[in-house]
Amino acid sequence: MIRKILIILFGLFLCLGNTHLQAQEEEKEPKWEFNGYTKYLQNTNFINLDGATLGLNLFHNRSNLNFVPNSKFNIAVEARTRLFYGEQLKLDTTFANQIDQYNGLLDLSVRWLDRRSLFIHTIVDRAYLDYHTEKWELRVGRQRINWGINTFWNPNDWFNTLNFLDFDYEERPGSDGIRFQYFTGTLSSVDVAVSFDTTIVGAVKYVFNTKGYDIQLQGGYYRGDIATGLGWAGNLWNAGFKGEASYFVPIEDLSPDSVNAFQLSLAGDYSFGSGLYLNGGVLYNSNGDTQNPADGGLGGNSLASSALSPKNLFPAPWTYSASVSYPTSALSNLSFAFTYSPKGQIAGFSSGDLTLVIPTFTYSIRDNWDLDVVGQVFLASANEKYSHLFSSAFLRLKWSY
Amino acid sequence: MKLKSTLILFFSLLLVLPSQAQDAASILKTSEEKRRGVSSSVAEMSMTIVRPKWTRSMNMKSWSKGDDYALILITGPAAKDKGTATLKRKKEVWNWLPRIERTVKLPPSMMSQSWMGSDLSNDDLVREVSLVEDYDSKVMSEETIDGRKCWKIELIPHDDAAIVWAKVIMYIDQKDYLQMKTEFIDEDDELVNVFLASEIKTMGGRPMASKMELIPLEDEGHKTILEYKSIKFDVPMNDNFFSVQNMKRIK
Repeated sequence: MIRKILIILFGLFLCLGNTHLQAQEEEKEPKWEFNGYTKYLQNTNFINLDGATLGLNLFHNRSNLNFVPNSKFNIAVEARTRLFYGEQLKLDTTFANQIDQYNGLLDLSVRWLDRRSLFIHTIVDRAYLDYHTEKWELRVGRQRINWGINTFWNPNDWFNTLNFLDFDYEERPGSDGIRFQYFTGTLSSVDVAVSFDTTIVGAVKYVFNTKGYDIQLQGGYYRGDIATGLGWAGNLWNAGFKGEASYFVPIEDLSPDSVNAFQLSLAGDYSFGSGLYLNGGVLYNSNGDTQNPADGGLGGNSLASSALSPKNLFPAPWTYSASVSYPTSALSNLSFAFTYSPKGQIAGFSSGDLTLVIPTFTYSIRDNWDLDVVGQVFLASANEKYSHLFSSAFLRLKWSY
Repeated sequence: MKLKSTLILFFSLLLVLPSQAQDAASILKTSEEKRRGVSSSVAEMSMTIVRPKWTRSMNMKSWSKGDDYALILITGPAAKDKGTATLKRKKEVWNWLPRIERTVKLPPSMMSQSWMGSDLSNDDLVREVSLVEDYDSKVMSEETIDGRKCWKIELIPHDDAAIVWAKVIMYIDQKDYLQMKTEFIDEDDELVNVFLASEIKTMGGRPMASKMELIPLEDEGHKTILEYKSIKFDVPMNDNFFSVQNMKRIK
């Protein structure tokens, strides 16, 4: 079934290509664009420092196809294919089901092979038609609607909120929906977007620029809630100053998540001439101390999952973040990110301080080859005693094309 | 009669010092205007980073209008950078990251940071600073660079200008007002970077250096080369061209 849809989609591409080839000969030549990457990721998980490690290996391909029949129109289809093997796959019987989750209208995913030692999965996470003029843009289909501003937490990213721990999927899943943007000026626009997943998200965003600040106002319906949001990106002297806040009030009882929620994320960043870059911020989560760790709290790996709610961005009322990044050479970069949450709600712990340390080293081997080493260390403290909760180490080789 | 001439000579001598400052500013203004094509330019260029053990290139297209507006698009060759665009409007700068479909506003301090790992800063590329408005300048002497007679001009940045240098010495060719050589001097009076222009050709209907090198003196074997493949001047461009939506769409 899915294979058929894929074939139909690509067929549609070809058909449109031909008609436009005939109809718009005087315009710019129709163009096909193809790019993407293939990555190899080795992930080692340390659950107990005295116990065995849990490994997962992953080959990951992303292929982006964009057909541009003329300067106003384009169709994009992007697919993500992953091949998993390793102990984690063998031990976790729910692994394949966790990977093969998509709440969109159409199930555009294929399990090519689903065995205990090998799992191969493809998902089309973008498939849209885009028509744009100088003044407006209409995009219909599976697409990424990114309304976030900050690096760590994005209360305003109502469509597939960014999860900074899920670093291997920065493109994020797409939303099945319609988005209309009207450009009221060079730095101002009105954005109307609706996505139809298992529940609906529909919102309007108005962006404008004043006194060196980009400001966005949002309002709409978020999965049973009335939602409002405010965001800005500007500067205080030479440092960047950005913020996002969203407030959700349930009007329908659609999920256990149907509670009032307020999320505020503030961040400042500064860059020195040497390339040393500092970013500091804070996240407030009104539900950070009331949630039940069993279903909403932090449970090791689940924190890094692709599905994150903008109503509950991190399992603690207050979380402070700091990151420092330095280009160790023109080809390499070293960074450390820290988050600290007093009263973090952690599965298996009642409540304690939660600290995350994320060292990242990136190295550009050649034009299209990158090597990254990433660590994610989760530390918890209860009764003034720090203990290791969970860690992951990642080695990633990436070839872009 | 004689007295009159003497007086004129005397007054003109009096005028020499202030007018020299004015002269330097007008030389710089003429030079900047000539370099940028007075109103606007559209260019295709490549940047090559040279290090003792490796060399890396990047191709880009740029659109600029006056000092205030610029748009730069990376066209390759590295696939992961392709489509990344930078927009500058007056003092504000945005990046478009196509992979994550996000516009990122850069902090003003980011402007002096190395651009894409090169010896150039964002400042150098989008020219946040204006030679005339952000510096005090004066003509020091005359020198010949690459067979061209040049004015040697000293530039001291204003205290409020976001410029990392204590002093800049610029050699501007007297025939075509080309910036043949620029020396960047830090607060310790050390010469840190040298900017060299060469391969002067007629491009876009005017003489210009098609190759420019930035050489950091502290690091041996390091340099960044900027080469123009094509350039058009005075292309009619509306200020609206430099918009966030166009940054995402430009090809």
